[in-house]
Amino acid sequence: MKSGETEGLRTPRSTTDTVAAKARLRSSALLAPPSATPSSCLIRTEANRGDRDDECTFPRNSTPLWPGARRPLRAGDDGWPAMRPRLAAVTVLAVAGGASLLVEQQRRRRDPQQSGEGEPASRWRSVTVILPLDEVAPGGSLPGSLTTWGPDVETRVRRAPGDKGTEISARFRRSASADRSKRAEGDRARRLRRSLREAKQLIEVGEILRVDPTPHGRRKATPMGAVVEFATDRGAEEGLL
Amino acid sequence: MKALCWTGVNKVEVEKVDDPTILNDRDVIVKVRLSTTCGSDLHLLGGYIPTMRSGDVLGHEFMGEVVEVGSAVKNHRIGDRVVVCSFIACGKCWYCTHEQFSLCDNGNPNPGITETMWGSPIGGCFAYSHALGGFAGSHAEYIRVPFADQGAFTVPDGVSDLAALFASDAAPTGWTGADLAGITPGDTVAVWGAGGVGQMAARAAMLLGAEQVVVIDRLPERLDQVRRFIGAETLDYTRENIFAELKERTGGRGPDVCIEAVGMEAHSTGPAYLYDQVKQQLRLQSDRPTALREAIYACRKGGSLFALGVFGGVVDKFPFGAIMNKGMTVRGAQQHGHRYIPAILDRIAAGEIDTEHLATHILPLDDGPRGYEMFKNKEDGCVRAVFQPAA
Repeated sequence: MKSGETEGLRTPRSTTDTVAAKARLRSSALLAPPSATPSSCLIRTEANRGDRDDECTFPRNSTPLWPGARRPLRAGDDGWPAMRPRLAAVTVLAVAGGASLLVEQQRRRRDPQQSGEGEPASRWRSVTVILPLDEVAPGGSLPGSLTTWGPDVETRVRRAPGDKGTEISARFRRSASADRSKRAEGDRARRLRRSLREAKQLIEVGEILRVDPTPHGRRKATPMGAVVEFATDRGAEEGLL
Repeated sequence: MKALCWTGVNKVEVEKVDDPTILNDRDVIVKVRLSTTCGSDLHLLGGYIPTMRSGDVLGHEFMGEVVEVGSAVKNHRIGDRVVVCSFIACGKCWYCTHEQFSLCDNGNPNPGITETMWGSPIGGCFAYSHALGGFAGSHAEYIRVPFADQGAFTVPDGVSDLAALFASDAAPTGWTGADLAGITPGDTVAVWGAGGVGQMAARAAMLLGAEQVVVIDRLPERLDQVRRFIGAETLDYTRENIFAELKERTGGRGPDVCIEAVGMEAHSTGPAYLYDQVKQQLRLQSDRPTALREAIYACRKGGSLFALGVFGGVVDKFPFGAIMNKGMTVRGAQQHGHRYIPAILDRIAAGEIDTEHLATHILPLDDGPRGYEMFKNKEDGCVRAVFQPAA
């Protein structure tokens, strides 16, 4: 088959190749070892062993987790009930994991610099819109509910690298305080994500895409259905922004 | 109106549901003429995509007639015969302007779900769970089509409804894989899966200049279709050693490009398949990457792999060592149909792409449950069950 026969389909090789080349460059950066270990890490490697070692839930040495761990436990051994070693190991891990989560939760609750989602309250949350900087906020105002936050939220608009357009960012001016519950902090973070996403759609498309009401058959009340309904209700607000 | 709804794992029912309405100015309402099952529906049907709700209307590959138009729609009028891309894209964002339409920033009203699952949200898709937007599907009498100027394409005169139907998903998905895999004239291309998407990927590979195209499957009726309608070579993995055959057919090199058009419920033979089945059934892995592994092993050094079948989550025993040490290029994507559909329709009209043969069973919508049963179990040589809501 001759290559000329492919002209009917739009195959902008140069664009595709450029995008692929950029993706390769980005991927090489992504493959670099992490600079810090997640605070709840369960597995330590050479790559993540470092400054945050003290936050790992496993001890530094390889001492067995409990006396006699290498042989089946018997009733009465060190006060443990009779159980198989694998079950015992799972139980210990589950308890240790739960305990570390509780400790971490308490630590975050005490730390005024953390937002309700365990992130610095001052972190910028951003979306990128394709329009150039001077067209994004004519007159200095951004569209949608971003304008309704008032003094609680600081916004920033700046040119994005390359042909990416313009970055719109927002962050809370005040960090979480003792009188603000974790749930309230999470709620306002979710509302801010929604505001940013709505602003992006209004700038790029001119309207916010709706899906409800959508035709559907009978919704059975099932546990999984409840989970999906919960996730869907928050679908525009959750995520990593 | 009538609609075929997912009501639980491996259960579908025809129900009465509300008619769709215009919700955004860029919407149209389409009266569905034909709507087909797709292999990726089986992942929904089997409960492997966990963000389905009972009552969701199935179907993402369809064509029909425009019966209502939103105030901002410019390219379509009532009465237009259209085929609609299964992915929903705004046409305005950075990804759309770079022709990566399935990655659209504005086509999914629930971006938080896939952003949490995958790190970034992707575009929306009709009837592909609430993770991809929760849009109602096309196994119904009517369907709402958002961003219709971008996603609905007028079917040229001379192209039948049945031929145009597969320009909605199977054909552009195949083209996406063949094009983005980087096929160059003279290449040998191996395609895993002889379903609708695999066949269209094979045909696209040939039209893009591949000198030799081999399609791998186990179902004789599908392999027969590949030989008759696509013009590619075939391999039956239950009868032949795939790796040895591909080496022999390529002078010991292996295929230049391997396209995996199977996805998360791959079938195979041997202990690897048993291992994947057990792990998936125990929900210890979400996807069975059996065909993906084979494609990686079979590919030549420095070759290219394209993952075209749908994967949703995590896989086990993924041979990344082979990818790294053989210097392979690995890509994947949902279909960027908006980029390919107009030219595909032209090629169908010109007789360069056959699609009608994929519709082995055409049924009224009331027979939807039976259609899915036949399609899932490959009964009676079923390649695609196509529904006619108006019948």
